[in-house]
Formats: sequence, C-alpha cells, structure tokens
Amino acid sequence: MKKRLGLWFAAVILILSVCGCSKNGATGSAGGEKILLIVNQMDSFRQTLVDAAKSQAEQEGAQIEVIDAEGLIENQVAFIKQAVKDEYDVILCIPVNIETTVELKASAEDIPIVFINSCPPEKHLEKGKYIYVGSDEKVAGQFQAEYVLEHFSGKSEINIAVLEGEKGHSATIGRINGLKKTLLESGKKIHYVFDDFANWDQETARSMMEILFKTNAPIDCIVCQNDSMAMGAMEACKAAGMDLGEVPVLGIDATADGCAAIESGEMAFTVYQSGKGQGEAAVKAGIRMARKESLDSMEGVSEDGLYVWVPFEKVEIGNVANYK
Amino acid sequence: MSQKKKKRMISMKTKLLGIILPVVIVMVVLLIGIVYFISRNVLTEYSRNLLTSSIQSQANEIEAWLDENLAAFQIVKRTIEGVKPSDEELEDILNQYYGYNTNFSDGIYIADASGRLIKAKDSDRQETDPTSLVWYQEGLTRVNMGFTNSYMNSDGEAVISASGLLNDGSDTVKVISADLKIERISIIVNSFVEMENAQAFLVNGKDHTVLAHRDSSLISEKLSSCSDSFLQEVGRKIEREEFETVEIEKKMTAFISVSGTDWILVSYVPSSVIYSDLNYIRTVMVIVGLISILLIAVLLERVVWLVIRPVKTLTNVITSMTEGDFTVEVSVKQRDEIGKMSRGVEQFVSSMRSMILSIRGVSDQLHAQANSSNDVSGEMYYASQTQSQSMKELSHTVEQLSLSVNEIAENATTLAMVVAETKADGEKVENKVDETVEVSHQGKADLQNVGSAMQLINESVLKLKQAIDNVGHASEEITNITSLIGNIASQTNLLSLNASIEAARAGEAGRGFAVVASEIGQLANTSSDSVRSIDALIHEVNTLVKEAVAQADVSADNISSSSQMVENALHTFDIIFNNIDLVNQLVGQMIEKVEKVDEVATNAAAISEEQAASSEEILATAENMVVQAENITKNSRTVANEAKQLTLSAENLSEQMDRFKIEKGGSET
Repeated sequence: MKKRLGLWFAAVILILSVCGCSKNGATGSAGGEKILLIVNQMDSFRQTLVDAAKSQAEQEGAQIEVIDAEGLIENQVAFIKQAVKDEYDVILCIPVNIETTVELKASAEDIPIVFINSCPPEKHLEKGKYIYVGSDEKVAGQFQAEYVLEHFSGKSEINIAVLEGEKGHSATIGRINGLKKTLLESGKKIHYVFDDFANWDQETARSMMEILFKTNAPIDCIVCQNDSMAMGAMEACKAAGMDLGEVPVLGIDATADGCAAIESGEMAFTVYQSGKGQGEAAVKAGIRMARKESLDSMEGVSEDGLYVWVPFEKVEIGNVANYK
Repeated sequence: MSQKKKKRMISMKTKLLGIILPVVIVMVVLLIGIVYFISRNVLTEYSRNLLTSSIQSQANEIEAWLDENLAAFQIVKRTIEGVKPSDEELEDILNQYYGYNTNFSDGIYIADASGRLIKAKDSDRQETDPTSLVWYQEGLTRVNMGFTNSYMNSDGEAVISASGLLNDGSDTVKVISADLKIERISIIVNSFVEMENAQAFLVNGKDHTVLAHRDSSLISEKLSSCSDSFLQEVGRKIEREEFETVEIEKKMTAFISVSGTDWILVSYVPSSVIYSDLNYIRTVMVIVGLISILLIAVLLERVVWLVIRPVKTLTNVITSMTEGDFTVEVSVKQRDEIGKMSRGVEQFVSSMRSMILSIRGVSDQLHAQANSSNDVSGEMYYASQTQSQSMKELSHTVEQLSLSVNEIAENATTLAMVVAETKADGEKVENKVDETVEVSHQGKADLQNVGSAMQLINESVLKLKQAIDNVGHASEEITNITSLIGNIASQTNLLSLNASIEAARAGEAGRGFAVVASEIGQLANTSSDSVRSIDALIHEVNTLVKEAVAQADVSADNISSSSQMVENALHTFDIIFNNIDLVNQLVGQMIEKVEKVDEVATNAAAISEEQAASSEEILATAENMVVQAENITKNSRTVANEAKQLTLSAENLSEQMDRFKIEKGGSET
C-alpha cells in the first residue's frame, strides 16, 4: 500500500516537474521575453534610459514595449493591469509615486517588477521579485559636496544655495542627505542661503533664483539636484549679471545640455547618472527575473539582492568629452 | 555494603514515582520553558513591530498634520502671490486667517526687508526687528514655505514657523510665515501613540534638541545635556544615525525621521510593559505547570497505588511462602497482568501445597527406605566380604588346575609327537618289508632262474661232452689230413729241388725260375713243419678233450647237486616270503593302530591346550572376580556409608518438610 502511494507520489512529482520544465522552456532561454517598460514624464535622461533598454532588449532577443504614464498613478496601474492581461514576463517601471508601490505590486500579480530611477521603500522590495535598479542617490550628493569642498578648500564658511528636486522623491532625499552629510562632516561652516524644491524644473529653478537674488544673500555656489534646474539657475545668474566663474553651478545627470554647459565653462560640475547603464541593467535584471535566474552574478547587485546599483560618475570640464 | 543494599528495600511505588515524576516535571518545565521562550520571542517581535508601526503612523500623522498646515499656508501664499494685493488688501486677507484655524490661531503674518510687519488687525504680535528673527532668516532660504527649527517667540512660547519668500512681483523682499505651537505638536505627537504605555518625543535631527516632549521642561534642551541617561543614550544613537529599534535603559525604543523635516521621532515603551504580558504568561504557565505537576503527582500516586496494591498483597503472600507458610489465600480481582500473576501464584500455592504433601509422604517413605537400605547395605557388605574371600580361594584352586592342565597338555603334545614319529617309523618298516618282499620275490625268481640255468648248464655240459667227443673224432681225421699234407709237402720239396737243378742248367734265363723254385722249396719245408706242429697240437687237444670229458662228467654231477640245492633254496624262499607277508600284514595293522593313537594323542594335545587356555581364562576371570569382589566390598562399604548418609538426609528432609505449613492452625504433621 505504502509502496503504491510512493509510486503515485513519484508520478505526480514527475508530471509536475515535466510541466515545470516545459513551462520554463516556453519562457526560458529561448529568449523572446515580453518586457513592458513604463516610464514617467519623458525627459532627456529617461530617453537615454529607454534607448539603452531598447537596444539591450534587442540584443538579448526580448520584445520590449515602452509606455509613458505621464505623471498619473492611475495610468501606471492601468498599464500594469493590461500587462498582466497581455502576459508580459516582466515589468520595468519608473514609479510615478513610490507611495503607490504596494498597489503596483498587487496589480502586477505574479509578474516581477524592476523599479527604476525612483526607489521604493526597502520593505516593499523582495529578492528576485521586486528589485530596484538605479544609482545610489546619496553618492551623487556626496560627489557634489566633494566638488564644493575641494573648490572652496580655502574657505572656512561656504554659502550654498540648493535647488532640490521633487519633494519626497527618493532621489531628492538621497541626494540632499548625501550632500549635507558630506558637507557636515567636513567641519566647515556651511550656510544654506537657499534650499527649496524646484521640482527638477528649469523654469521653477530660474524663478526661484531670481527671487533669491532679490534677498541679496551671499552666494558662493549653487548646487542643483539635476542639470535642468542648473540650467535655470545659470539663466538667472546670467540675467543678474553674475560671473559663473565666481559662482559655480553644479548639476546632476550630465544631460546633453549639461555637458554642453560644462564644455562652455558655464556649469562647473555634474554627475553622470548612467541612464544607459540603468536601462541596460534594468533589462538584464528583468530578463533574469523572468527566467527565474539568480541576479548574484550581475554587476552592482547588493548583498541582499534587492538593489542593482549603477555607479555615478563625476563629470567636469576635463572629462566632459566622454559623456557627450 | 552490598548486603546492606540488598536489605534496603525500595518500594515499587517509590521507584515508579521516582522515575516518572522527575521525567514529568522535566517535561513540564521544558514545555513551559519552550513555550515561554517562544512567546517571549513572539511577544517581543510583536511589540517591536507594534512599536515600529506605531511610530510610523505617528510620523505619518505628524507629517500629515504638518503638510496639512503647510498646504493651508501655501494656499494663502499662492492667493497673495496671485492677487498681488496692496498693503490694505493684504491686511484684509491676513485678517481672514486670524483665528481661522486653532493650529495657527495667531494667523499668518508677513515681514519685509525694511522690517515692516504686516499682520491681522486683531493680532497683538509686536516685533521690533522681524528680519532678525528665525522665521524671517529661514524664510529667506526658500520660496515654498517650510518649517523652521523650534524657537521661543516673543511671548516665550516654543514654536515652529512655516515661512518662505513671498513672490508678489514687487522688488521688496517679503517673508510670509505662520506659527505652530510646539506644545500642540507635542500633544499631537503623544496623542497618536498607538501602543499602550508608549511615549514619543520629537528631536531635531540637526542639533539634537528636543522639539516636543510630554515633559515641557525638556523642550529645546540638547539631548546630550539632559540629565536623563536614557535621553543621552538616545542622543548618541541619533548622532550615530543608528535608527534600528533597540532596547535602551529597559525601554524599547524606535526611531523614525519625519520626512520633509529634519525631525526625528523617538517612541519608546518600557520593556516592563512588553514583558508584563510575558510575566503574566509566565506566572500563569508556572501556576498551570505547578498545578499540573501536582495533579499528575497525585494522579500518579493514586494510579500507582491502585496498580501496585495487589502486588503488595502478592508480596505478602510470597513473603509468607518464602517463610514456608503455604496456608495463605490469594484473592484475585484484577483482569490485568497482576491479576494473571496472582492467579499464577494462587495456582502455585495450591500446587505447592499438594506437592509438599506428597513430598512429605515421599520423604517419610524415603526415610524408611533409607533405613532399610542401610541395613541391606550392611548385610551386603558382609556378603561381599565373604564372597571376596571365596573368590580368592577359588582363584587359587583354578590356578592349580590350570597348572595341571598345562602339564597334561604338554605331555599330550609329547605323546602326540612320539606317536607321530612311531607312525613314520612303522611306515618306513612297511616300506622296508615291502622292499624285502619284493627283493625275496626277485630272489625267488632269481633262484628259479638259477635252477633253469642249472638245467641249461647240465644240458650244455652234456652237449659239451658230445662236442668234445666230436672234437676227438675230428682230431683223428685232422691227423689223417696232416699225414696226407706231409706226404704232399715232401713230394713238393723234391719237385722244387729238381726245378732248381733244371733252372741252374737253364743259365741266365732260368734265374727267375730258380728263385720261384727255391721259394716253393721253402714253402714245402714250412708246410711240413706246420704239419708236424699240428700233429703235436692235435695230440695235445686229444689229451685235453679226454681231460674235458672227464671234467664235464664231474661238472654234470656237480650241477645236478646244485639244482637240488636251488630247489631247496626256493622252498626256503617261499617260507621266508610267507613269513615276510605275515610281517607286512602285522606292520600294516600296527600302523593303523599307531595312526589311531596319533589322532587320539593330537586330539588330546589340542584338547589339553584348550583346557589350559580355558583354565587360564578361568584364572584371569577368577582374579577379576577377586578384584570385583574387593570392589564390591569397597562399594558396599561406600553404599553402607551413603545409606547412613541417606538416612541422615532423609531425617533432615523430614525435618525440613516439617517447616512447611499447609494446614491452617500451623499444626505439625
């Protein structure tokens, strides 16, 4: 009796494993994974990311569909639900709002999600299922602080105007923390003569700077959390007749405009967030997750397997040519 | 020592309880320990999570509250920026917000770079140099309104302000601001505590000063300068940015930074609160454990007592039995193994009883038998002694007998040998006699031959006499012939002389003839000589024949007498022959007899040898028998001793058996 039961058990396991294999086979190494990349509010950085993702997917033989949520969380959820219906294998997603992570995960049902660019809280990430591909934002802020400290190494007091991104955005928080922490640790007296959220926006940044200039506050440098805001800040500076050589403006992202500004000597420093690297890494990780493979061998994977870090790079006049 | 150990009796109940109870106690303690450990972990984890979620929700509430207020201020600010009002209009707008919301009952106020303060009409706020104030200074650093650090306002109240640059298009720098009282935040902070007995306070992450605390005296104090060691430790944690939930000073403490601000919300709950539940569980479990151990102990004791009671009864029964008392009764009620055992003992007792009875009978019988066997063995001893003696004598006799028989055997053997020799001699004699007979037969035959030869000789002699007579006659005729030959030889000799004269005349030619004539003349002379010799000889022969005839006559006479003697000898031979025949017959008879004697003697020898062997065997047997008889004597002595011993044992057994009681009243049998 026992023996017969054992046989049945073995048979069931065999059938299951065969089914499992065939299923794996269908979606597995043969390629052709269906990838949905949901972006949010396309900008030049994200365009770089999307282009890199597309070429990487093409290279790996996967199909990739790109769609823009246009800043609406309901769009994003609707796209994910549609992706479930269309049986996508993996979703790459730039969240509109990281607060909606739980709902995004629930909508995706069994489909793994690679979050890009905006980092959800760690508790919502899960190894092999919900991971984040991006750059460690703190490092970008840290790089900016290092530039400032080096540039003003002779001064004991530095007056800094900060233009932050969107309030509550993970990049905003990470970058400002990295910046302020590094500056604090330098022991120098740092005056934040201005520190506001310009929502990554050039125009907002420009108008804020104009208002700032009215206060006649002393400004040694302007630290912006992206190149767009830096462009706005520089416009304001130029309009106010300020010498950009005296007041360095710092950005992040090394966009084409940013690089051009550095090349022309207007902008002092930016940090290259490898949109290409993130796009490629997101597709690589996504395909591996679709195949239920381990990410351990991937470059930049954190020890807990929740993050794939794509390194930032410092961009100055000396090396800007590499990033055009 | 070991005897002492043996003597120290440990009851089964003690043993059973001694084994089971500790095991049960250990198990219960282990169980409680494990359950306690698990519940402790679960509870701790639960409390930790509860605290974390509590602090999270508090932080969210604070954030929300701040955001809500900030949003309200932003609306006002936007309105103002959109309207771009004149100073009067601006005051009107500010008037509307005075007392509009209890959160900022002081309303919204604006200061410009020239130090002018624009406020609601009802507000009694007086600032001599607003541009030097915290809210103005910090407001200058942002366009979107943001919260300042906490500070003391002119009324001595701890407040935070939401301030920002007012962008009304004019060139005058204006800062718009509204105050929120820290006290209010403090109340809100602690009102949102979800966990019972938990407390929370707000710390400025930049300078580590207390922003809000139930104890208002601590507000604006630096954590590191607080006297409370708990607060100092919290300060150190914040400084090191170690925001994990930990236990500090027996308080489980959680940290969270309130987003949008530099504030850090610290929430803590005394560990004792968490562990009070645990203590309660522990107490309950210990009580339950103790009660269950007690219950189990009592239950076990009763069960063991119940189970063992029949064993005790049985033990008593068996003890009595050990002492030889088989009068005990075993009552059987149980249907378990002990019942089975009891039944077994009961059967054992009854069978023992009957067995002892029969043993006792048997032992009595044995006693009697031992006695009689003692007697018998005594008698046997004497008998065997006598027998031994007799056997020795018998042995001696047999030995002598054996010797005699041996002698006889030897003699018989000698006799047989002699007889055998005699037989051989007899046979030789017979042979010799036979030979003699044969020889005498031959002799007789020879004699007969001799007789016939004598006849022949006689006849021959007669013939010889006749022959000799014939020879006399022949010799007379030969004398006549020789006289004629002498006449012829005298004439031949005359002729040879005439021929030799004539040949001498014939001269030469007659020489040859003269030789022949001389020869013939010689021959005639020789012949006349021979004739003269022959005459002589015949003369002699005549004489000899006359002598031979005489002789033959004599021989004939002798031969006749010899024949007569031969015949006599024959006769004698016949007599000898007969006698020998007789002897032969006698010898044959004698040999027959001797053969018989030989047979008898051989038989006698064989028989006597057998007898000798038998007698030796008898002797050996007799010697064996002597040994056996001596053994028997020895054994019968042993038997006698053992019979005595047996008697003693039988007496002993009888005594022993008397110890068993099988009838009530303990009377002896």
